[in-house]
Amino acid sequence: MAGRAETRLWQRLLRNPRVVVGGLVCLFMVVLALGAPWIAPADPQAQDLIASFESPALLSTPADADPDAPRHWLGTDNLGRDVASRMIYGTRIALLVAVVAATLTALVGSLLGALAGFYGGKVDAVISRLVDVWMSFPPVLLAIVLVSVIGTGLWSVIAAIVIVDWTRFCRVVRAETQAQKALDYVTSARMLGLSPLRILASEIFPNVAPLLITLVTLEMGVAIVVEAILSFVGLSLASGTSTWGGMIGEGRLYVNQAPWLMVLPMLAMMTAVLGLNALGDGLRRELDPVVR
Amino acid sequence: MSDMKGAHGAVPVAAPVLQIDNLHVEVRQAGRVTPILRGVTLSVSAGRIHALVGESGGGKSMVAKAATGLLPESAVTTRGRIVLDSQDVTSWNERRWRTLRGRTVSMVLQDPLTALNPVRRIGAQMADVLYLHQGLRGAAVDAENLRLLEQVQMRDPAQVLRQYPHQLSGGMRQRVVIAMAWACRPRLIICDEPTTALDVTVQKQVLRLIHKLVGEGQGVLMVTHDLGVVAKLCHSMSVIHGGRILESGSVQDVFAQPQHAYTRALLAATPRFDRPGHTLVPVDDGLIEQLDAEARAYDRCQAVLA
Repeated sequence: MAGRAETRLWQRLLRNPRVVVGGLVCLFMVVLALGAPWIAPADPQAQDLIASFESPALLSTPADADPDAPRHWLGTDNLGRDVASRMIYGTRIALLVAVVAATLTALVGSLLGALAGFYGGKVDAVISRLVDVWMSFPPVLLAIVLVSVIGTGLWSVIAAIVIVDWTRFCRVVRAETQAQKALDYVTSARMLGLSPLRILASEIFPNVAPLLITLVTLEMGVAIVVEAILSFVGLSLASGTSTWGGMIGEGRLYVNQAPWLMVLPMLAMMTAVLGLNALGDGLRRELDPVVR
Repeated sequence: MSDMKGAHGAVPVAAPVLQIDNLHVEVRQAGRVTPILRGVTLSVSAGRIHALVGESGGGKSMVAKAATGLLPESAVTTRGRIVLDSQDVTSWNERRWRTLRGRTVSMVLQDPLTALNPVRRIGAQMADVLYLHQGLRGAAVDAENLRLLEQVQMRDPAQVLRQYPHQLSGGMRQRVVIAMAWACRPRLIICDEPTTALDVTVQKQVLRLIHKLVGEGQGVLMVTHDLGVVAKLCHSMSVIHGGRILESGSVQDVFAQPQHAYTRALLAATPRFDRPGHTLVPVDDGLIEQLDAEARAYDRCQAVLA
C-alpha cells in the first residue's frame, strides 16, 4: 500500500510535462558539466587568432572552408576561442554556483525562518525585523557591493548570493512553520511529551520539506542569474575561466560584428533558468498537499 | 454552592488523579482582561470517567488546557490550584510539564483528521512515544505498536502501521490517536470532544473503546456537550457555564434530580430515547442572561476583594 503510494508519486511526476521538461534540461546541464572535458570539442582557453570571429558552423559553412580545419559549431570569439567549448565549461560554473548557493541559502534561511515561526515572540520579532531591513536593500546592488568588499572569486559570489537571498527562504519557511504549528498534530505531539526541537525536526520539517524543494529549485535559477550579473560587471571569476555572464559581458563589445557571442550564452542561461523554474513549478504542483 | 456536596459523596474513595480547586484564569490581551474560569473545582478519580458538560464558550476546553499545561501565553492563572497525580502543577513551566505529558497525562483531541501528522507513517508516529517514554526501539517498538493497535480493536494492525493518516478512515484515525494517548498508561487522559468529528455509528464504537480502556485504571476527563455520551459512558459529571461549575455529582443523581436550573434546561434540550413523547425545549434566553449577569456580578466582587 505504502509502496504503491510512492510509485504513484513517481508516476505522477513523470506525467507532469513541467517536471519532465525541467528535469531533462537539468539532466542535460549536469551531463554537460560533468562530462565537459570529453564533450567539449576544444580547449575553452585555446586561442587561435587567425580563426577569430568565425560564425557558427551550424548556420553556414563557407564554401571555401578547409575540410581539415577544426569545425566551430557555435563559432569563435574575438580571441578565436571555441564558443561551444566555453559554454560547456560555463555550465560547470553555473551549476556549481546554482547547487552550492541555493543549498546554503536554503540552509541559512530556513533555519532562521523555522526558529522564528516555531518559537514566535522575541525570537520572531528579532528575525522578522532583520528580514524587513534586509529586504529594503536592492538585492543586486547589495550583491555587487558585497563582492566588491569581500573580493571577487567563485566563493565570494556564492557568499553574496546567500547573504542577499536567505530572506526569501526565511519568510516562506517562517509562515509555513507558523501555519503547521497551529495544527492539531503539533498539539498532539506536545501532549505526548516531545521536545520542541524534536517537534520542529521530525513533525514540522517533513511537512515543510516539499515547499523547500520547490524553493531550492527556483533559487538555483536565481543564483545562475545573479552569478551572470556579477560576471557581467566583472565581479565574478577572472576572465580566464569561462562563465556565461563573462561571455555575455565580453560578447557585448562585438555585438555588431558577432552577435552570437552574446546571444548564445544568453540563450543557455535562459534555457537553464526556464528549465529550473519549470521543474520547481511542476514539483510544487505535485508535492504541495493543498494543490494535490 | 450547596449542590457541590453531593459530588463528594458520590465519588469513590480512591485518590483523585486530577484535583482542580477554585481555579481562576483570565486572558490578558491588548490591555483587556477577560475572566475565563471563575473558580472551577472538580476532581477525577482513577478508573472513573468524569464528564465536563457545557455549551461552547463555557470554559470546557480551557479547563482541559489548564490541566495539561497548554494554556495560551495570554492566559494567567490568578487563583486556585491544579493537583495532578499528587503534584501541584499550578505554576509549572513548559519544561516541567513536558516531564508529565504522555507519561502522567495525555489527551485525545477532537478532530482525528488533523491530530496525526499527515506526512509520517502511523508506525513512526507511534514509535516516537514509545521511544521517548519507554526507551523502546527496533523490534520491541513493532511488537508494542501491534499490541496497542490490537488493544484499540484495529483491524489489520500490521498494515495500518505502514500506512499514512490519509489512508485511514476517521474512526480508524481516532483509534490510533487513542492508542497513542494510552500508550504509556498515563494516570489521566483528557478527551476533548473525542466523538464530535465522527459519524454516529463510529462514535458508538469509539465510546465503547474508551469505556473498555478505562478498565485499566486511568482517570478520564471527558469534555463534551453531548449529554447522551455522558449518560452512556461517564460515572460523574460537572456542569460548566461562564467559567463556573454550576453543579457536580454522580451521573445518576444529576440526571435524576438536577439541582441547577441550567442543568434542567440542558437535560430538557437533549433527546431521550428512554422517554417516548419527550419534547425538546430550547434553553431559555432569560436563563442564560441571568447566568451571564451572575458571572459579571462575580467578577465585580472579585475585583473589590482583590
